[in-house]
Amino acid sequence: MLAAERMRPVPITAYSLCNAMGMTTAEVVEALGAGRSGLGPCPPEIGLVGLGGAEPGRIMVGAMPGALPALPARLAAYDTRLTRIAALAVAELRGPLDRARARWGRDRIAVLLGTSTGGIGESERAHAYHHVHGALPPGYSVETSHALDASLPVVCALADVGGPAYVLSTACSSSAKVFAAAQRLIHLGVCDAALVGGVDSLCQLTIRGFAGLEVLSPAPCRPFCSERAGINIGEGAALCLLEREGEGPARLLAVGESSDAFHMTSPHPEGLGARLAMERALQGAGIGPADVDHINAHGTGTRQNDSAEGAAIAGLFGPGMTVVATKGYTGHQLGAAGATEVLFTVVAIAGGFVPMSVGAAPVDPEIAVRVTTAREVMRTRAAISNSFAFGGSNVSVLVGAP
Amino acid sequence: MTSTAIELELRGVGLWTPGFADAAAWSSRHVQGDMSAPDPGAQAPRAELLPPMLRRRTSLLTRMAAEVAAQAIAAAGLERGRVTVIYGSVYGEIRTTIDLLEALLDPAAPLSPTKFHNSVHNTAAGYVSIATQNRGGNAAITAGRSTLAMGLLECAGLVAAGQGPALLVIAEESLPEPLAAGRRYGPLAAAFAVDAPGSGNMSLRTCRLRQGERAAAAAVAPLPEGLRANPCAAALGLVEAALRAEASCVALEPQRERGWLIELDEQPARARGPA
Repeated sequence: MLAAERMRPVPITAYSLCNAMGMTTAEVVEALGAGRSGLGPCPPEIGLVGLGGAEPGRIMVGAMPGALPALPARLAAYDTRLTRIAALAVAELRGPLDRARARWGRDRIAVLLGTSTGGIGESERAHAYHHVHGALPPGYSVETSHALDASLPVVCALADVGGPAYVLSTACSSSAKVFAAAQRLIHLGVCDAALVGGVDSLCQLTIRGFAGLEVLSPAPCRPFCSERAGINIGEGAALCLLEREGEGPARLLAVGESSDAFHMTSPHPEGLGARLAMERALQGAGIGPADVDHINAHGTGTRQNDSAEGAAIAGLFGPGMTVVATKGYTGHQLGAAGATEVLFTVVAIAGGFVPMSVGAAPVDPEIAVRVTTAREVMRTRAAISNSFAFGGSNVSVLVGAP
Repeated sequence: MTSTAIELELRGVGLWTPGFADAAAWSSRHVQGDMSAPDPGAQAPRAELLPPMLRRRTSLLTRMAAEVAAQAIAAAGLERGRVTVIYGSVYGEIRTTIDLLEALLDPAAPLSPTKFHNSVHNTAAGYVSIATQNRGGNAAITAGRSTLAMGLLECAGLVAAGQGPALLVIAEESLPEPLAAGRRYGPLAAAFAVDAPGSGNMSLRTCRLRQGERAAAAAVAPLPEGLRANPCAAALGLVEAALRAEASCVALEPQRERGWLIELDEQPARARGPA
């Protein structure tokens, strides 16, 4: 575990994003450059009828901003809000997938997805229906509607790939973990390319669960701000194609993983696990802190998490490190957050800028790093995207210029 | 499909299912037809790896996972704090999840924060990492009925990257109503500690992962009726094959005609004896 081998960087050859900022990659990228948040009131179809007295329409979330088309008839059994969001992201990658399939072969392309919610939203409706009717609703099946892995047959079928396929589910670090697994599988030789990413959908369980933990902000979240008051839940999908060789906007250099071994929901107060993950990413790539130009923080907007992460970054990189937090655009997409923010880092590298951290101003003076409060022009050689989760699961994905 | 085989050392295994306290109890079971548990005392996993207070507050899934992890770590002669653990389960903390679904029926009811964070797929990963002070990475995965196969690939990736030894922990509870809609099977857990070829003298078996026809696999002794439908039942067959002395081949995805297989070499003489 400690004598980790250095693996070759893996080109990120194509990507797609959809979330509260837009239904297409182009819309999302435009909003990121423009500093435009996608947060808004929770849509009625989520079924939230109350939250400790709060008006459901006043609960702030990062919801998909348009209608979600149904899956094709052959995949109807798997049709859920989650798989519809995933399908949007796969559709945009059709061209690159065709090219990768021709180059490597259909069965040499793996699919690694991160999700924390799976189809739990369907189970909420099914369970409520059962409560009234004494039977599950027609069309509901725990295997195809609820299971975390139910997104795999949909993504594999729509992408037309047949390599190893699995879901990683480590709460809010799920879709950052997939980058580590994909780099290892390519190194191992069981695949030449991997379609990796994450997808999560809004549901009652996560919104009310985080409300129970008393970390939900009634207003748009403001990571690293002195006035920050918690998180908003978001949804979306982020997918990208990693290939053994190829041209793309960025390269996956290395991934560092660690466990806090401290508490199920609270980060280590000095950010010990976060620091370990970042150090391991640097070691994996054989570079030092001075080679990293910016960090996309986990930056959820809770007082505790942002303080611990700020301390960990400042401790390793020094107080001058440029940090961006992007959950003010999307909300916390939980299982989809990791991949979304890795791809925001790719967008920043390709575009020669670091995004504005929406909502961060005025930055908390106790946070000892340089948080962006406006879009900044910057040529990034390498950047880290952090994701931390329940269970003390920490992942730092190190991405570099091509 | 790739034809290359991935070689690994299988260093130790663990198992728990009601009536069978460990892998040795399982491998010596009488396989004539369906049988009731030979050890009626083994109805709850000891899970001594978890502190007693925590043991009472965690699900059967997490306790089963902690139990088989400790067994395999001990059998393989590994350090608890220095093994990368991968947890595989299809429905994960499903009982806690259903408790939360029940609570959601009352729109004004607050959700229990403890139940909420205990419902994530990496719940056991979190608790075991805390209990063993393991600051390495870990992961929780699922691939439906291919979870065993994909979990072993994930472990093989870790080993190839120099991030081993790796421990795959498979744990699956019975599925509660109403979501089960009649699907009935018992709980089971199994663990497999793997490392790089030639990595030590503690090897139980040298094995190879490869893709091939299910027909190439040896027949597995019949499973007790109550476990056959468990989506992770293939893990029981692998424990059984690992503890037999002779060479064998196990289908890791028995639901597929062609899928991942594991070939186990004949057991080295030094590893034989009471398991």
